[in-house]
Amino acid sequence: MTATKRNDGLPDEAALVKGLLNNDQLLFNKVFKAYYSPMYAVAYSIVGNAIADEVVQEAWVSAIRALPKFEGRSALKSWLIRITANEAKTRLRKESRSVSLDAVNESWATDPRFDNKGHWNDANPEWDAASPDDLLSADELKDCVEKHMEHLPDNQKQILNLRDVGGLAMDEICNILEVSSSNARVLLHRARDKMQQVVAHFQRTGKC
Amino acid sequence: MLSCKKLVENASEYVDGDLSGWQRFNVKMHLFMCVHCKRYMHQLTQTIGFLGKLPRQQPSEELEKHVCDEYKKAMQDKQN
Ligand SMILES: [Zn+2]
Repeated sequence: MTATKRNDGLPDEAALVKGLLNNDQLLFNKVFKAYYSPMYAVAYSIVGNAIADEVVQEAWVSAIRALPKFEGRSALKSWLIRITANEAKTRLRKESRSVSLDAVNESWATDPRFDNKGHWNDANPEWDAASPDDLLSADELKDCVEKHMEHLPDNQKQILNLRDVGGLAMDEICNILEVSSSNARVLLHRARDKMQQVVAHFQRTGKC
Repeated sequence: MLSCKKLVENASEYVDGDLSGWQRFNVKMHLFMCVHCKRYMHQLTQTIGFLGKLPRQQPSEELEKHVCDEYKKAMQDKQN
């Protein structure tokens, strides 16, 4: 386990697990809230929006049952994410739906931003906003980015959501979605590149 | 030399630190000389930071209550 600084306002791993096993309901509520977003992102990426919450609920029911057997070999958060992914996949098999992840077919070949020698056609103007926080201050931009994320191809949307919005590690994502790390990297970059263009367009025109 | 297009296509690997020493050096040299790519790289990093700060999905009260009740129940069962 890597020692990353906690930024979720929860106690350290050992205290966390101990508290949960000792009927600390306040702590449980905090954990539920802190990990809802990544768990939802995982469920959403596998089963879609309509039943993502049901999957999160089922995952918690399983997790609560399995908690006494939790051995702490991974972080609690990773453990919950794995349970969520398993729950979601079971659900997917039951409903025999599937989300295709394999197609990495869209090509960079005809990117209008570049000439045939691979130089920029037009200079990309500088952005007024200096930091991600400055960018966030524009509500229209937030809405605009969310709208365009919704329209990304499924596979790109899944990975962008898990990695950059949900903050999951790349190897966790590859396990959950059963993709190779090279495919995942390509898809992630396509999605990020598209979002950069959305923000750039907004900065240039003030419109979505 | 690395073209701007090639650099842009692999920009995430640079940002995420997945390039070998030599590849990294090549990108750095390009960025040193090319203001457009330098700007792109900066904007990509800003965009990634922005995505990480989008408002988090919040659980519904109904879900929260259901899951917390489930926990309470499991703890009571354990004590009995
Ligand atoms: Zn360049």
